[in-house]
Amino acid sequence: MPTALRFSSDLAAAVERLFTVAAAPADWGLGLAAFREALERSAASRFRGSAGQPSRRDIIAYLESLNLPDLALACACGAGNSRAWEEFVSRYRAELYRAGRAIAGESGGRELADSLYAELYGLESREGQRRTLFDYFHGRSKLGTWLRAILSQRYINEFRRTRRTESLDAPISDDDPRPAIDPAAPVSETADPERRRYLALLQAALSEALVALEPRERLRLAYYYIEDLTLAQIGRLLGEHEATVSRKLDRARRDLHQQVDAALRGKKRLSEAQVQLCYEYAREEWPFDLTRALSKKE
Amino acid sequence: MNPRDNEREFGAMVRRGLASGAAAAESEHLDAEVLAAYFERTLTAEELRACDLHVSNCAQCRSEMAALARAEPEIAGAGSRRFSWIWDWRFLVPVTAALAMFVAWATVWGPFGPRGGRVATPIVAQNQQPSATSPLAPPPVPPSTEMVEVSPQPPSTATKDSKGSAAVHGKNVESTNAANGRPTDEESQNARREFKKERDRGASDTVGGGSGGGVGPAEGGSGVGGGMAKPPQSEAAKGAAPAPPAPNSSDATIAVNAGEAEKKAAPAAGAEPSKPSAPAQNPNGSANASTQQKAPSAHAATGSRGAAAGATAGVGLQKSAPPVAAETVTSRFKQDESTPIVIPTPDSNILWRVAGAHEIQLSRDVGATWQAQLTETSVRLVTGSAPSSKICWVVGRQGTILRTVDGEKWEMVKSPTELDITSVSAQDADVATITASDGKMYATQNGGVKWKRIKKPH
Repeated sequence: MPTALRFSSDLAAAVERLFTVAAAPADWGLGLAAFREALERSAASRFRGSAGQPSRRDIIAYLESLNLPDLALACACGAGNSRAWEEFVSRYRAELYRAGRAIAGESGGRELADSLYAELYGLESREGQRRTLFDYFHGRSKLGTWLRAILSQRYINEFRRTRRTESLDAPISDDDPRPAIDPAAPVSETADPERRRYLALLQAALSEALVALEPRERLRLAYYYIEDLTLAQIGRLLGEHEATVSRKLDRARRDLHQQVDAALRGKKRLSEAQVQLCYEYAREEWPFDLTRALSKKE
Repeated sequence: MNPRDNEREFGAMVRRGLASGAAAAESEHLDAEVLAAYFERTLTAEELRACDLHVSNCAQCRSEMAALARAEPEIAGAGSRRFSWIWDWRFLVPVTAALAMFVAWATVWGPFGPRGGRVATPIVAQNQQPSATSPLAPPPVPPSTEMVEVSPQPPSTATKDSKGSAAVHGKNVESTNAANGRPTDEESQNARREFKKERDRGASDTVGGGSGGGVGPAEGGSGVGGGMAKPPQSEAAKGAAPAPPAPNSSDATIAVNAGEAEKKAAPAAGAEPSKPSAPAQNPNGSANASTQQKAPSAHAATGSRGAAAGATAGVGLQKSAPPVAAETVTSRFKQDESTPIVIPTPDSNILWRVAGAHEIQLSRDVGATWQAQLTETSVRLVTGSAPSSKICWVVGRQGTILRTVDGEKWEMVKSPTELDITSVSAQDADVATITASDGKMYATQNGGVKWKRIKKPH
């Protein structure tokens, strides 16, 4: 169970007020002491690692920002109250299955959600005390979002674990059938001896341009190009409108092109013909038409 | 390769670049609590920045966020993967340009323009009393009414009195807004009397000559073929409530509607005894034009919106109403050269005019006195447009285009045509549109260095 931050006595009134706000039904059997412990765990999680002891004002401001009704439900479920558990199941069962299917597909979605139920109910026990996932819910988000986050983590962890057993030479996806260029790989005698160098220069210029991006710009591109999210989904993640996402993606792509172009011509001191050769070789060896993708006419 | 393939291939490049650089920072991942709060954007700004930085470099947390987004019920499966052109607002540029051209066409040649019906467009006298809420709003015009010559005026408050404006067959005698700084009411009276005389001459010269075809000096560049005429207001009526419609007590002249001239035009009453008044008559129906002109009246406070406004119409005098054919460009050049062509500016005190068709004059006192600026031009000048008190464009025959950008010195502007130019509408010193006698329109964005033909939509 997560460690707690012990509240001083001057927070008692605030805790009582928050308990009232949580409005936990009486049949959940949730007492003020248990709720206070939940708040203390939540505050400890929030202020963990912060310099110094948080002030009373900071703690109260944080506690007031919590989703208190959801926290109360999680506390009651974690304590094993059957009525609270019924409430949880009736409220979130369908949602968990739906989210599981959305994340893992029709086949694995239900299994993914069912595996979560066991841990939520608290089948494990340590030192005679039942352990439940609800102990890790601190009310910083809605309970439904937290459950989906756990499903997402489980799925991604499993996905990455199974991926590690696959060959590194395997293609990343159907859209990307060939491995990346290895600049050290031998080239045929008929090929341009500068070919590998040009490709390496192009890769380096692109990598530098990507690293130089602002985190949100890089994140936006990654959501779009790596995670294949829709514009609306990216906007939801970044707190932007779909139109803004579209415009910024378009602009980032143009900026990348300009920076790659400028790096090849400026830092790498390539001529126009050499730059065109870079694009041409990349188009031939990479699974995409770099010449067109980075053409000025774009 | 189509753009979609191109985009996909570029995505593959970015994917490789991002994937190759993301392996470094996977030491500590976000826990479910922070991940969920990050997704809901309920973290503090500092925490959000830290999470953005971490997730941008951590493939696992980024994938978890992506999975979370896919599991979100509200947006699951929603949205597009494509860069949608609809989000790129630059598409509005050609759309707006096309719309503007259509409006220009509709105004000049289209169904709302003087040539639209190929029928003489009757002139409807209008006297506008701008409202407080929309001082520049056009007067209500019935569907059958076609605005022939309209000249915008500077904004004015509803409490001011109208002063007078006229637009008669290619000439504008446009009254200006009574702005602060006008000398006295007496001077204003004198100025308006001068206007009245000029207008009378112009009207008598051009009655039956057809509609003006848009030489109205246009504030804001709307002078070609039309625009909005807005009556000036006199200092005398400041603070006074708008008076009920007073026939012949206001001075805006404008317009035309053969079919509705009778019902639109109210009989002119004798605020100005020297001016005859008569109800508008149009014996030949819509095919005829009746020009109504109204002399300025010094202190009359009118709240009328003109004849087209029905109940609020302040009606001018009907000069004459002979049936006329559709306007021809050459008719404008047959006008009496002695008729001055007054070009208003946004500054109510400053006016330009083409006097004697060969001389440009400037008045800084609402037309009380005139100062010759450019004299004895070799070609006849037709009309002008002054978008500001310092900038004025004047056009004339044989492709003549003159311009001043300092209000003093006039220069010849390179012309795109050798034909006579019948109208000009200027927005500023660089942007102007002209219409040649063959109906072709040309626009410049750089003070006449280059002209571009504006094709008429059909």
